[in-house]
Amino acid sequence: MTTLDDLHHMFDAYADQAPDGHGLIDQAREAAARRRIRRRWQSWIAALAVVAVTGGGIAVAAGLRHHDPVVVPPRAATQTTITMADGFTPVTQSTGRDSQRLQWGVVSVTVAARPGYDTKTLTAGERLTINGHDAWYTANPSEGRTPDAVPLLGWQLPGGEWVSVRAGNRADKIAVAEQLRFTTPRDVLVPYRVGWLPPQMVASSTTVDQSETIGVTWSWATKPTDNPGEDPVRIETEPLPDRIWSQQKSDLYRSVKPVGGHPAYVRDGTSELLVETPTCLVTVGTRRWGGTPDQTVDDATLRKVAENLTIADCTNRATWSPAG
Amino acid sequence: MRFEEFAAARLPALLRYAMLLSGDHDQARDIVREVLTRSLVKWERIQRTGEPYAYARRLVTDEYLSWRRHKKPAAGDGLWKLLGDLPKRQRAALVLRFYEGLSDQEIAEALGCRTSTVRGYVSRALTELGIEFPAGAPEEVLP
Repeated sequence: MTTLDDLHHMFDAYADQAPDGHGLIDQAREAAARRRIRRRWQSWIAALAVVAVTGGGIAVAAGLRHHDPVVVPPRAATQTTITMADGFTPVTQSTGRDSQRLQWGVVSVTVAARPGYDTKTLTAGERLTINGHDAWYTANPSEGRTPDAVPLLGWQLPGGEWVSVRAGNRADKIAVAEQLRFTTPRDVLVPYRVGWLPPQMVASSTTVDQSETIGVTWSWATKPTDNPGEDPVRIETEPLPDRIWSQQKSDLYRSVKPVGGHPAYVRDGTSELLVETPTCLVTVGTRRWGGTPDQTVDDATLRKVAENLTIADCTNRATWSPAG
Repeated sequence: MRFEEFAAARLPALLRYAMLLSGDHDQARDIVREVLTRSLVKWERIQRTGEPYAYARRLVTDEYLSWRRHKKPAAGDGLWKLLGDLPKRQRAALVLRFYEGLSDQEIAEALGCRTSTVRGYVSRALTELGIEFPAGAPEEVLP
């Protein structure tokens, strides 16, 4: 007679015959990159169709094809001057008041007027040529006070900012550096327009990640923070439909009073209000960790921010507006 | 936790689970590759749940249930072959119950059905496999 023990033994035996995972993580990473590129192309095609009709946005499109390093300050916190060559999509890209960051694979790129290390040490290193301009590579840029400084590839842009390429091996850094493109400041676009924010609040950072989740944070003009995670208001959007959100909605969130006629949700224990439109999931939240009362906003304020958003189509960039 | 850390730690468990669901090496790899890809793209949201493995396992289950490829004829010994002949949802319920050790409620959430339906799946699957249904509810015979 067959018993439950037999079933357990059989499961254990056949589970032991499972394939090994060699190469799967790399394959998944490549597949994820291909999906991002495909989605980005679909969005661009939609946007360019509108550009062709309206004649607008030509400067932005031209800027993306501009390969010469032309950085003209000032740049607002919600503007970017970095992009990558066609076919390369950053894992994440962010902007702040004083710096911009971009990550591709394991390699991270920072552009900042104050790079956080002694640039004389860098320029005393090995001289290279990246896209026709001088750059330097050093194994020890004396960053901060840490004795184990990471090797660095860097150069200065005509506007005075320093490009710093870190992580990965030397060849990785050079390969990514060669794919960087610098443009005049361009607005980061978001699929909504903000109708109301607490007085004295200004946009302080943006983050765009590979899943096309776009975050913008706002801080008090009189009390800027150095870390976007500490900013008192944060709005994130991501395109729908999304299977994971479909599952999480019923598992983790509870329904609350609709916002602008759209279903809204909260998760107990967090300070976030989520608004679901047919194409967007919009999260309006306050700082994620700790903070004194003047560094956060209450739930009523978050709701008022959400109720005054004009939410566009997350899947159609032609409907988007400048962040901030 | 970074995606790479999660994947390195949990990949073997996901592959074992996918193997028991699909019964096939290649399909198990394909399912897990797809789940890793989707997880990578949505990692921040998955991580925020605090239970990334549970979500990845659920994605494996979804991927298996929605798999359109023709099922290969079941090979192996008698019990394994009988398992391969079960309807997909019954098989998933059985693996979740007696290999992953989930409760009826957890299985119901994973399969998107009611707990009474889970008990029905498990009961019918055990009958098909010729395993005498144990006294008491399945909840009482957790491995």
